[in-house]
Amino acid sequence: MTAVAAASASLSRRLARLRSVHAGPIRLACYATSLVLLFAAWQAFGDSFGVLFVPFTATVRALWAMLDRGPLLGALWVSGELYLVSLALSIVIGIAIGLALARFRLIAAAFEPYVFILYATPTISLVPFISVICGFGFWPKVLVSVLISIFPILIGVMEGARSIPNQHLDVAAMFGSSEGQLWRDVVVPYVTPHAMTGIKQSIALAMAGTLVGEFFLNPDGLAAVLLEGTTTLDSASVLAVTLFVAAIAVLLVSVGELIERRLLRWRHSAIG
Amino acid sequence: MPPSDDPRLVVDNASLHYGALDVLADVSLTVQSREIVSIVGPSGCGKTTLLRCVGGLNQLNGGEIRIDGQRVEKPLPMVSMVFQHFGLFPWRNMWSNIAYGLMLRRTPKAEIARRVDAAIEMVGLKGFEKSYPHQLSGGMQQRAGLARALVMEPKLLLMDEPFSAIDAQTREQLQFELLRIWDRRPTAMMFVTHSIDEAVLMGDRVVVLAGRPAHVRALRRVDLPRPRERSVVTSPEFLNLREQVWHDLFGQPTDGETASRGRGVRSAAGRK
Ligand SMILES: Nc1ncnc2c1ncn2[C@@H]1O[C@H](COP(=O)(O)OP(=O)(O)O)[C@@H](O)[C@H]1O
Ligand SMILES: [Mg+2]
Repeated sequence: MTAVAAASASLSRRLARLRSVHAGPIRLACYATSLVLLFAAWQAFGDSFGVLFVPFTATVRALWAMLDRGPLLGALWVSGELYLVSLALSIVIGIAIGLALARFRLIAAAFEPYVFILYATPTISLVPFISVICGFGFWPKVLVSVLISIFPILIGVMEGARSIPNQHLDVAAMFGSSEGQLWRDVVVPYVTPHAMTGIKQSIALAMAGTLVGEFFLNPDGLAAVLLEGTTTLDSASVLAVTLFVAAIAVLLVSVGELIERRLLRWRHSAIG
Repeated sequence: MPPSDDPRLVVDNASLHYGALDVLADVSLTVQSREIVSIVGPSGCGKTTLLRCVGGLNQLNGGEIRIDGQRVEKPLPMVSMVFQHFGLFPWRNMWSNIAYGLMLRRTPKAEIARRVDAAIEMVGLKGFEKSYPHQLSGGMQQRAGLARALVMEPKLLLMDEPFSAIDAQTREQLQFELLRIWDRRPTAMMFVTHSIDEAVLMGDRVVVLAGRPAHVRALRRVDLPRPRERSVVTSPEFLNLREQVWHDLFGQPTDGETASRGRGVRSAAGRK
């Protein structure tokens, strides 16, 4: 009995330590150190490799030039629109389909297999069909990007809504909740953390989806800049765009995390 | 006890089975409008199932349950339930958990505030209004669960082993606090427990539920004075009653139910 208690106490202490790593200056320092190491390794590797893989400093210089008077900002504008539209659609449609599949058994019976078939299919293999059916414009690109980024949200919401404990549903029923009130007071708050986990992944995936859409359907935006760099073997600009995209992705994911933390304050204890 | 008018709750020959498993067989009992009826029985014998039927969360396969003459087919607004595992919503703070039922009924804001504050005062949770469930101890969570039920001013209060998930000292404290609350405003209460002591301490009558399927094996009147003070548990009457109920449960069974009961208890334990 006491041994068990002691073991569980030490476990909870270890867990607390694990959690505290996620907070504060220590975490920031770790992050900074790893970045510095990465850039240093990149620098060393690039220096020894020559033109096909330029060092970090050359990449930053190229990035600066492209931002200053090059095509990067204009391209960012074009890709940004595609990105935001496809992310927004992924969120809205992913949540809607996820909830529908979870709460309406007949809909699930009819459509759930397709969800997993689509999930398992590499989206790139669908691109030819999409272009044949929908052409090469803005919306086909959105479709490609949505297909790449929607699944973490959709599946997260679906599994979340399916796992609502009966205990919560009993309480709602006992207090006379209507169906609408049940959705507002139980389903939505219960599913929110699952949706947020999916959204954070989709924030990054929509970035990749945007570039894939642009790459394979009438390149423009950031993908066009990237493609031009590739065909002219201008590795500095290719790496610069990659770095740029990565930085934006990190920024966006952090924003997502911030929103998550605000939405889910009830999950974090006052102490930890 | 006033001379009995129409009972608040009538359970009339209630039977229920889950598939091939018979759980309740011809259970009949009544609860008067200012009476606490304890239901005691071994774990897994069907106490929760019976209570859920009274609450309208489960449906009977035979017989009938009436509250104030109204047949129970779904949860009725004048009935509140306190759950074994508290059943607070983790995403709502304590105040808002207690206000939940009134919010569902679209009670005016000012009245909600007045009644919730009074309920919080009554269960001794003042100062913890903003705390989320995970920040409260089990005892405090069940106080909130109790307040959430009481704030509805129910005519029938259903308690499903409300204190069994709480440590022994806090349990004893809560038992007497609940008795004090009831003394101030006596309502009909069905108090399910697997503790013989608790059944005798709380109840005006004790219904002994046992067997497989469960039926009413004995019905004991508890003529201990109210308000019940702590000293009552050492009185000869209390000890005597406890002994009787113990024999009802575990003593020599009558009319050849030995075999079925033995099997029932074992299989219930195996299922846990
Ligand atoms: N939803 C269910 N489906 C099938 N069997 C159930 C269900 N709920 C309870 N049971 C079974 O019914 C019996 C009575 O359960 P329960 O009412 O929870 O007992 P108690 O509250 O007395 O411990 C148990 O054998 C349990 O396994
Ligand atoms: Mg039970």
